Amino acid sequence: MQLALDVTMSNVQVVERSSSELDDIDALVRTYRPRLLRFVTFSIGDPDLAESITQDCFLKAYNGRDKFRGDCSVNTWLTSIALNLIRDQQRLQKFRFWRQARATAIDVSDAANFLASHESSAEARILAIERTEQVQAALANLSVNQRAIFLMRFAEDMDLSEIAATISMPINTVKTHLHRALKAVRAEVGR
Amino acid sequence: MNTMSSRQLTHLFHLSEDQIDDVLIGDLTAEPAAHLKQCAECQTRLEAAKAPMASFATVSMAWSERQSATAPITLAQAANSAGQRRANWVATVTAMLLVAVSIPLTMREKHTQVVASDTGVSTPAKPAAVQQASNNAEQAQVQPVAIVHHEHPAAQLAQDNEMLQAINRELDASVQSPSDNFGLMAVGGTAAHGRNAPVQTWD
Repeated sequence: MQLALDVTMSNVQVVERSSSELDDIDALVRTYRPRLLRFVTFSIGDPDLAESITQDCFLKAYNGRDKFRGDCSVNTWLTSIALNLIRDQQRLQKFRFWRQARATAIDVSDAANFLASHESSAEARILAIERTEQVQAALANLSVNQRAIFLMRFAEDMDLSEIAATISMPINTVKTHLHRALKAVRAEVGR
Repeated sequence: MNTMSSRQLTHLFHLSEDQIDDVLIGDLTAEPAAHLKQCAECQTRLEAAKAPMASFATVSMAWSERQSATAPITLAQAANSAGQRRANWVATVTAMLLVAVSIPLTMREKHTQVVASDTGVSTPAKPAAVQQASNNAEQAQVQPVAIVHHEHPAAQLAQDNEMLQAINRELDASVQSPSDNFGLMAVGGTAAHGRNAPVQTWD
């Protein structure tokens, strides 16, 4: 009984903390923008459009913060909003996204300079960039859902149930998408 | 005889590619997981399979953090201005609705008052909701008129009657009636016809 009460109290505290977190838009942006921008950018392949969608996502989250029930993390909630915005954008763009966006593709080669130099050697950083570009190339050939699910798993580090809830799919469908995406990525990397 | 359990068999065979994928996905069953714990070769294969995704996560995050740092967005301003725009819009619509409701009601009220004062018919009571909606506008435009004509009607009548009686008394004292020259007597014994008759009052 006491344990159940404690669990309920901790849930209430989590909801309250998350709600107050959503009230401060500056803190919200500071905390979640890099992750969200990455998810959107590598989902659609267009950095400029990703900036715009990310901003819309934060505005939508802030204006709709009363609807946040606290049954998932703020990051998961933001990701689901971003996913809906990406889908809206896809409908507008008639699925022209990624292939057309290749002309203005994300250049991660500069990112080698942003990696902490004390954590890895120059060779390791170059290898990391090379692998990233390979994954990026593989992502371009994935379906929209495969790409989103892959990013949620391997970039956002979300578990299967979280991904299924965010993308509103059965968990077995999520697994199928992940298996296919992984095979494609590993094939690209193994070339 | 020498039958091997499935657990022992599992330990003999390395993980398949699908099982490596299962580990990466986070969906590995217990037996391959047990093998993985003990098999250095499979652990090396797993690390090799993880490496591209780990690199992607690290480098893409570094890229995104850099993007966020170099191109800060002014979301607070945008959110505030969006909220301000919404508040202004709501206020404008409310004001327009209030005006749209109160103008016809005010005009109708004035018309009803004119008709009522002409015919002596009292104004019918408005429904409560309409009364509430037009209250503000009426306070500004209708009430001054209402105070003059309709507030305290009994007191107004009494005041008017008193004024008429005062005029009558003054006339009695200062103005000579033409009938006085003829010495006419009223039936009731008064000096002039109707001179002292009581003033008809408005009731």
